[in-house]
Amino acid sequence: MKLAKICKQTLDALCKSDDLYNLSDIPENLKNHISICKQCSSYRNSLIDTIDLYKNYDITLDRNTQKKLLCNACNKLREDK
Amino acid sequence: MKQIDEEQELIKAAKKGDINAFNKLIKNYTQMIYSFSFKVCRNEEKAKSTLQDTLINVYKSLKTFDGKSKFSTWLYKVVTNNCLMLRRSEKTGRFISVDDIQIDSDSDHFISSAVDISSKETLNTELKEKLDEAIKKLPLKYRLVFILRDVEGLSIEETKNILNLSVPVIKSRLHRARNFLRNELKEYYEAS
Repeated sequence: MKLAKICKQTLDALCKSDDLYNLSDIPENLKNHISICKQCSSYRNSLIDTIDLYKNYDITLDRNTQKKLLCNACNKLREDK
Repeated sequence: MKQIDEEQELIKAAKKGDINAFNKLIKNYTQMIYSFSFKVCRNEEKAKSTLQDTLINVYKSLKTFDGKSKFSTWLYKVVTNNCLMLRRSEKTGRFISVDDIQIDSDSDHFISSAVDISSKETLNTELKEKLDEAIKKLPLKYRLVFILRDVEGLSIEETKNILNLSVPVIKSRLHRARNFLRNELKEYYEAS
């Protein structure tokens, strides 16, 4: 399926956008297009979902390991002094 | 305000060689450094090792922190450099190139997005593996831009200063990274 020119422009703008939620940096004509084109709107949502998945995938360092690593680093710095 | 003043005092003292002040200063940032390192290298042991190296490098290069940027932004720069050094020293990774990925390839871009992702959602192991696998395929230069901008939420100006890149290059890399990851995860969206 060949994409319509406006869809190509929209995908390009979405991938570069700093504000996928509010689309504040997207030209008005493309914003209007997103509101009526199911495919472009779906593309935008999947970009948001992808980012959210990575945002939600975080990892915590337990306190003891944190303390140990910091202590090791400081001891090494003292030795090097 | 008091907290910022206190941080400034600790930076001043640490710059003069006060290791206790450094300990106090950096304590609040260890989780951030660890988390960012993990997001870049996708490996807990490597993230711990990067954290350890970063702590030492931060102390050693603290003299170069001029206070023009936020301390946290400067820290991102140091951690990023450590991640890049680690990557260079490994020299084993084989990434596929995303340079040829075209945005206008075909209808593959149009997949349904029916995933309900709330901030409280706990990602299952299978999905975590998929996310790791996808981002590991992304060359580091694209990965860093994606993580700094989209995951850590840094501004384009901050990202520019951390990576020493121009705004158009950052935008272009972000464009490719987002599109690449989204395509890598399309099976997940389709299955949902």
